[in-house]
Amino acid sequence: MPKHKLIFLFFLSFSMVVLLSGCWDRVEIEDRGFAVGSAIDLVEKKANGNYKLMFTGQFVVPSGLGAPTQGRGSGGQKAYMNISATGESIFEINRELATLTSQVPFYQHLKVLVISKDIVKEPKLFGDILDIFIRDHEMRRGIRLVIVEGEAKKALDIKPDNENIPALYIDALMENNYKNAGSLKPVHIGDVQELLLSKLSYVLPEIHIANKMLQYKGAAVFEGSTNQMIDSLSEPETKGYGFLTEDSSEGALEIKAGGETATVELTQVTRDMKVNPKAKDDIDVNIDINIEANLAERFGKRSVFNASYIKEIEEGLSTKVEELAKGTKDKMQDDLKLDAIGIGHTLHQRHYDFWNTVKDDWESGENYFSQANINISAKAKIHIIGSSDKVKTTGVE
Amino acid sequence: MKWFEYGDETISDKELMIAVPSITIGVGILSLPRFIAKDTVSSDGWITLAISGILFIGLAWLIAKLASSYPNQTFVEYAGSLVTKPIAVILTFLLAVHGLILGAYVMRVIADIAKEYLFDRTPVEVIALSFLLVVVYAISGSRAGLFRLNMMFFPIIIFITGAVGLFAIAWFDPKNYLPVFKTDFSGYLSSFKSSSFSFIGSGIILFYTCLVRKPKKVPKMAALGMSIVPGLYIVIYLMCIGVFGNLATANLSYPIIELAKEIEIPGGFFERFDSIFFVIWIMSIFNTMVMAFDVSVFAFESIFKWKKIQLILVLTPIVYLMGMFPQDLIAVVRFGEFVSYYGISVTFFVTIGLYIISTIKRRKTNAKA
Repeated sequence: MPKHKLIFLFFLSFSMVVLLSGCWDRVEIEDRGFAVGSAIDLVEKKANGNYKLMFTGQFVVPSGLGAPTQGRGSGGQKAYMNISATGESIFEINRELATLTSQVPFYQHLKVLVISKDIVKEPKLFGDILDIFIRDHEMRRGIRLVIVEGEAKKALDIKPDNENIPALYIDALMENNYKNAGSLKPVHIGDVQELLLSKLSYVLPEIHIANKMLQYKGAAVFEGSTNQMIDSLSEPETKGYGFLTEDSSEGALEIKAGGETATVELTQVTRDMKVNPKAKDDIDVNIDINIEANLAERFGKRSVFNASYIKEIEEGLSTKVEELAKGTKDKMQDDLKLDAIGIGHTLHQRHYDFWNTVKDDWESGENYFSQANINISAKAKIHIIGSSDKVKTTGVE
Repeated sequence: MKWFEYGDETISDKELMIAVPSITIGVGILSLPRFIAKDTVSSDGWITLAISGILFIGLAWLIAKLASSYPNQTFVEYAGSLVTKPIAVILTFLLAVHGLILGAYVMRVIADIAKEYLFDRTPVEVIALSFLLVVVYAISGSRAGLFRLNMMFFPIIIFITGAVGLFAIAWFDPKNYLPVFKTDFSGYLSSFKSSSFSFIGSGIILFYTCLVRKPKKVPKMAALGMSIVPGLYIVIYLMCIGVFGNLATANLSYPIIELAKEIEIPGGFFERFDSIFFVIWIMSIFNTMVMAFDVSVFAFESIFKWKKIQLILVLTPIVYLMGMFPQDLIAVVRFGEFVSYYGISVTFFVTIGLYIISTIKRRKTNAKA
């Protein structure tokens, strides 16, 4: 090969090493601030109708986590850092946040978004602040969203001894706890987009701050067209809501059976909704709830190996479930007049043509929802009664 | 120094079969579920996809039938024998231009998407240029090699789509598919228009059939290859509807990317599945652009007496400038519409026209004999 060709090849490959190995978007991992949790609070409503918001980001401090060999937490350093800033839009606040920290905020691992009730109670604000969490490419659709009573920022500061990072604590709490009837299935921000786009009302889970711990219970009811929070569901009402919508299935219920108290553990709850629209103001809705359960604990002395006793428990359970579900239904239909239990969805899916005639007057105007006849019936089946017949011969009657 | 070369520059009919879906599946399907969901009720869009799929399978069959009845002849040769040489040259030119603008459009769209999702600070121009350079590198080599590359990438693309569907099962809600058959005719019609944009690319059969060793089975293979496309589209569309529902699908810019983003595989390492999906999908878009660019180089080769490498050196800057010409997102969308209209009409009219003429001519010679 001639010499000048060799030299040319040498320079070509040398320039390629320089030109092709670069990365425009490189950020060293030490310079990234990994956000795992975020909270949004309302600071004030301005005179011009705009809102002043406070955004809190929770960033992981890796040195606080400690290496596995060192044991947990080296020298009592906190494993997280909360930074707050205020402004009118989340994006703008974010930029301000970046000026406060030495790191580049990185949201791709964001797990939890906590929103204060003050925000969701304002009309239309909720949808607006969520925009960036759905629009921005850094945000994942799996972020879990939860509503908190009071200051959302505070929820990101609660850390029990067994956890290092509050946001991960909230995440684990929701994931593990929805197995108790009474808490709802955690909601992903991707699902919330569907709820925001839909005109029907919906329910989102709530979290409560209690004694330096968090409690995942209750729910917030949202009005579908303004995406404004109207009311809260109490714990029994949330349980009833779970039965009506299948949003939570497992959990425990305390029931009365033949004068004795017993606790059953629900293993499976299925719901079947049949809608029969006869006329606009005469819609029959039948909701059948099928429950399978195990006997977990009982107070009393009667023999469990007794068909009539099991029957009594089953009856007690179905009455209890009906009671809970009816309570929630009555609140939705009579007090709030909001269809968050999905009858509109069923109409849309099964009776599309009829739905098109009532959809504009479903929750507003004529409010055909509140005029529907909703019947709820529950059927229970006990499978396992435990490893003993009687544990004692005395018992509270 | 000696370059490695393959024994011959011919391909098998199976390689052509894979090349057809390889060029067709690309950037279109990324946003297609949105357009279809917008115009149809709940999950009715699959009907649109099935109908337009059948139409385009028919078109692919017709193109292959036409091209394979002149075995081992290039497009200019057999078109020349049908409609005289100058017209054949003009037709070749029109089809070659389609390959160029399709390549330019694909390059621009992938650069835009990559900037939005992956490279926050890298300028679009740089992303597009590096993508284009890789494509140019690929087509500077062996043509048969490109077909083998298609064969290698295609199963991976199918696999990743299946993987997205499999992991998305956890978010699946079958109720999203209800109600069925409620879309009115105008809804089907407008969704049909947008879906047909994602089916262009079968024009390559006109040119590549002459490379096939035994072109007898080409029509069947082309139709078979084309039928993979609506199949895959319907699967992707139903996945999006099943997970997001009609309303959210209609509002997501790139539903399938969002689907990959929604997936969370436990264990941490694969937590961000979208990055893997992206890498694989870029392979599919690479296939599209390589085939589009190469077919126009191939077409130009047959009408200009230039060397391949000279043509590539001339065409590459043209493709780059065309791709970078639209200034904003709206202009890119309009450019895409133009590419699609142009592609569909040119491929359609050339094929139908030549097919009719060829049938008439054949009848005449038969009658004489």
